[in-house]
This record gives sequence, structure tokens and C-alpha cells, in this order.
Amino acid sequence: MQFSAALMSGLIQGGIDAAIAVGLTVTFGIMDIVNFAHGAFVVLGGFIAFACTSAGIPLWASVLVALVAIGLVGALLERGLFRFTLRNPFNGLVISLALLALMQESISLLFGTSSEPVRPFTFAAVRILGTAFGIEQLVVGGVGFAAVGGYWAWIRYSRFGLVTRAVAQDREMAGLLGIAYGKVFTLNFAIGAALAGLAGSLVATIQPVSAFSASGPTFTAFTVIIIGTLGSIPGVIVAGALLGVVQDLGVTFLSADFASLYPFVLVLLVLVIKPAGLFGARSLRVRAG
Amino acid sequence: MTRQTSSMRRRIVRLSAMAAALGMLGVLSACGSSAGVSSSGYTLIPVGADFSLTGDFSQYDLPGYQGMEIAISQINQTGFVVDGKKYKFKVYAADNQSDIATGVTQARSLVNDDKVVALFGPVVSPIAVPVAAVTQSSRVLEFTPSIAVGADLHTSPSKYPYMIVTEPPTGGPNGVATVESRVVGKQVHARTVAVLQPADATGEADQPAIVEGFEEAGAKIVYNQTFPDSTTDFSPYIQKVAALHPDVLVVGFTDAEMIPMITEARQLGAAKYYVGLGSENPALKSGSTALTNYFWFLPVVGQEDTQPAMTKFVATFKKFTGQSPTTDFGYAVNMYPWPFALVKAMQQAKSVTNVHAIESRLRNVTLSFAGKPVSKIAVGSDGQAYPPYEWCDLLSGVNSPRCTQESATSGSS
Repeated sequence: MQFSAALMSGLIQGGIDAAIAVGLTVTFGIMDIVNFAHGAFVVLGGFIAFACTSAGIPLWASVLVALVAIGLVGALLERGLFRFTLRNPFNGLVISLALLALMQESISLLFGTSSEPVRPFTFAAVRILGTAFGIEQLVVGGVGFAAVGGYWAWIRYSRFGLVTRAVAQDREMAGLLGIAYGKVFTLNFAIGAALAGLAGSLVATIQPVSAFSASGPTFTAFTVIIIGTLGSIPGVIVAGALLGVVQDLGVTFLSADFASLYPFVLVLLVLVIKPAGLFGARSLRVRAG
Repeated sequence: MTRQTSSMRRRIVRLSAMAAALGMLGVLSACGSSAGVSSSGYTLIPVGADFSLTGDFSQYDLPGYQGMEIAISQINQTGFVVDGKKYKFKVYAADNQSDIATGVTQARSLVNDDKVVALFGPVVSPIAVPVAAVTQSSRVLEFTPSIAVGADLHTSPSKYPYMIVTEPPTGGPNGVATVESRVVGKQVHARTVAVLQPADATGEADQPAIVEGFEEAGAKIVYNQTFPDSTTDFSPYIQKVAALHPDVLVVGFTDAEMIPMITEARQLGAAKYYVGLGSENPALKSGSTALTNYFWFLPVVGQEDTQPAMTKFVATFKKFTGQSPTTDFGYAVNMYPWPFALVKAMQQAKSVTNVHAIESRLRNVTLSFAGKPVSKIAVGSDGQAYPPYEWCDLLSGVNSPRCTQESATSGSS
């Protein structure tokens, strides 16, 4: 029973981790941007949901507002900042660090520095395999996987997805073929940010958010995309689930004292066995070498 | 006038202006040293504030800073007299951004560059411990509520000759956590207890005290675990607790940790009673109906206290900061008395710079603060203060929290 409980709770956490990480992997896969401000999208999403629910807006609508708002913020940031770093991705990295500080300070000025929880839509629980799980947590984990899965299906099967993959392969060539790759960048960056905002607004119903908690989701996102291969959306889904399950099994069956070590051990093992990550050959762009 | 003469004059004027400016700068910088800057007949005494005004720790440090700020603004309204001379405080405030290295660097700068005679803060232990090393080696008075500094003070008092720990001790026979764990354990006839604390300086100080208190009440500790600060998924911990189904689950320390833990514990029916260190929020925000089988204790007194002096201070706090008190408002109450205590000690020592003389007036005394939210604070000979603290429960219903204000003592129980 302990095994199934740890497995289930790990999978729930995996859905959240995948939703947090997908934007980071896509912006890296398409634009080569290593965005350290990604965790701030998660935090901002949480605070938007908090502000909306505090104003009496229903939770589902608040989550939707967070999704759209963070998507717009992402689009503006891509168009206004990151677009100018395409030729030198290192500049993008530096800008993202400055952006992280700016967003954190802005959030603390707007919402204060205390932790704020968003009231979940239910506190009820269901029993699965003999163990009780909060319905809210199951929904949050499920929505996380569904959102990332939906994004992957869109990239895999739609015309826009085809264009995105073409731009990821060779943006110059795609441009010569008449593809407006700027729009592809903006839209994908916006969707990645929006999904982080979605994750943030949902996570805030389980755990209170604070203005300076961006480092946690940023670390999680980097761990997930390293395990699942930089630029791979299916990799994010599998790595998210794996990370959540390994961590919960480790705490349950090995020792809780080493809880913060398990992600590093997992990253190390994956890098030793498959240096390009679990989905090395299936990323948005197969890199030379 | 020839062009040459005119050019020469301009050069002389320019050089004179530069010399005057340099002279002014020299005078100003001399005035800026610890000797004090005259301001309308008052000499300014430099004091430092090293708090986490931003970042994760600001939840605790910001109210502490605000409490100190209110006290100093009230003192500076009229100033004070020491040995016939009029003084006001000049605060050099530094935001350590919840970063240990920044906190230490700023403490060094406050001590060496700004020549502060006393330092207030930080509140949180991970930064307060290394900052204390800076102040104590530099012979600067420090006032901090840090429980980790307090714990070290008890084992190595000689390391802290210029320290006042403003929060009562958490551990030891009369520590807040020990005493209140014992009280709760006896009250609910606890036989089994689970303890979940963060793996940081605060958790490390609280955890053994909680265990000691419940064991003294006759309970058995069935699960005693720390979790990393970065934990967001508490499920495996709570699942383990649920499997043991203890009478009491004790969690700490921040709302960000306690709310998700108690929410999940309630869903699993993990324990009969819950104890949270710090606030009632986990009881109110962890279910569709608020939890009534809940206790919490604070090492400080906060707005739960409804005495007139506290009500007045809450109103002052709101007016001064433009903010409503948060759950950690108690740290404002905790830091508020100490600038007043510093003034009194300087007056008794007849000096604003003789650190040893001032410090000796702050130790082994009972300080009185008439009309203030905390009217009396005893300070031990080691610099450990014993201000009142409170423990509360919701057993009578969520709308009628029962809070008991306790006075910590240095004697053995």
C-alpha cells in the first residue's frame, strides 16, 4: 500500500513538474533561450489566481485569467526582449537573470512578501488502492499532464506544429521558405509561459506562493528538461513523472533525510546512461554532434 | 583685462571652488563618523538594521524591522538626553535580501564603515548566526530574536558578550516549545506524537524541544522527521504519518509548509490533534471547515492579545506602515521595546559609546516599558531575554481562539 501511495503521489507531482517545465524546454528547443526567469511565470500565475479568487472570481475563471495573462506577458517579453538575443543566446541568459530579479521585486511590491494560498475548489478526498488522495491534487496533476500532452499533440499533428518543428530545425531555411518565424517564436514562448502560469495558479491551491519562491520551480524545470532532453516535449512528460515518483519512493522507502539528493542522483544516472537525456533523438531539433 | 588675465582668474576661481568643495566634503565625512552629526542641536548616534526586507525570510524580518523603525521614530520625535547632551538615532538600514553572504557583508559594512554602536536584526537564524559573529568580534551591541543564536548563547555564553536575544528560548526545561509541548501533551492525553519540522536552523532548534516536551507529558514519539526547505510535495511524509495515526501531529514553521501538510493530513485523517508553530492559518485554510482540534504557540505575543496597549500598538503599526498586521506581526512587537531599552541603558551608563557599560545595564535586569504592548521583560545575565509569549487553541470554536499569555522564566521548573 505504501508503494502505491508513493507511486500515485509521485505521479501527481510529476504532472505539476511537467507543466512547469514544458515552456522552458520549448523556448530552448526553438530559440536556444535558457530562461532563468521561467520560475517567475509560475509564481506570477499563482499570485494572479490569488488576486482573482480574493476578488470573488471563481477558481476556474481565475486559473483561466492567469493562463491568458501570463501568456500575454510571455509574448511581450519575447517580442520586446528575447527576440533581440537570437544571434547571441548568452545575452538571453543574462537578460533572463535580470528579468527574474525584476519580476520577483515587482511581485513583492504588488502582492507583498508573505505566502498566499489560493482556496482550492474542493478539500474532498477519494480512496485509490486503499489510500486517500485529495481530489484537488489529482485534478492539478491530471491537468498538468493533460496540458503538456495537448501541447505536444498540437506540435506533433497540427500545421502550426509542423511550422514550429521546421523553425526549430533551421530557422534561416524556414524564413527563406516564407515562414514568419518571428510569430512562431512569439506564440510558442507565450504558450510555454502560459502553461507555467497555469501550473503556478493550480499549484497555489495546494501550496501557498510567495514572491521569492521562483527558484524552486526554476530548479525543478531544469531538472526535468535535463532528464527528458532539452527541447523534447514527450521527454518533459516522462521526466516529470519519473522525477516525482523517484523522489516520493526515495522518501518513503530509503530515507527522508536525503530528500533533496534524489533529483541530483536521478540526473546523474540519466546523464551517465544517456548523456543526451531520455529522449535524445526525439527533441524538437536534433543537434549536430 | 587681457585674455591671459581672464583665463588665470577663471583658473583661480575654479581651483578655489574645488578646494572649498573638498573642504566641505572633509567636514561632512568627519561628521558622518561615529562621533555623530549635529542636527538642530542633537547629536546623531548611528545604529544599524540588518534585516531581510525582501526575499523568503522577509515574512519574519520585515515586521521585526518595522517594529524597530516605529520605536526609533517615536524616540526621535523628542530625542533623548544622556549625561546632559541631546541625542537622536540615525538608522543605517540594510536589506540582506534573505541571503546569508549579503547579510554578513552588510553587517561588516555597518560596523566598519557606518560605525554603528548597535545593530538590530536579523530575525531568522540562518543569517543571524553568522551576523552575530561579526558584531561580537567587533564589540557592537546586537539585538536579535534568533532562536539559534539563543541556543548557542546558552551553551557558549562567552561567545556573546554584546548580545541580547530578544525571543525567549525555545528549548531547555523552560523553553517555549518544551513547556507548551508538555502542556498540550498533558491536555489531550497524548500517547503518540509525530513531529515534522524543516531542516533548517529553526527546525533544528525546535525539534528536540518539542520531542522533550511531549516525552515529559508521557507521550511516545512515533515519527520524528525533518524535510528540506525546498520541499513542495509533502505527500510521502504525510502518508507515513497517516500509517502511524498518532494522537498529535506537530508541524512547522511557515504557512507555506504547514498549510499543505495539514490539508493533506486532514484528508487522510492522519491525527486526532494538530499543533502548528507560528500561526492559526493552517487550521483556517486547510479544509472546507476550519479545524478546531488545533493548537499553536508563538515565541512572541501578537495581535491575538487584546489588551489596550496592544490594540494601540496595532493601530500605530497600521498607521506607520500602511499595512495590516500579518501572522508574523509578533516580531514587530518583539523588536519594538529594544530601542527604548537601549536609550535607557545609555542614560544609566552615561555614555552612548561605552559598549561594555551599556551592555551591562541591559543584563540581569527586569526592564519596564509602561504603556507599551509588552510592559516588562526580564533579561538574564547572559543576555537572554524572557519576554512573554503565547499559546492558543481553537478547541472552543474557530471564532473564539483561546490565547494564554505566558511569561518565560530563566529558573528551572
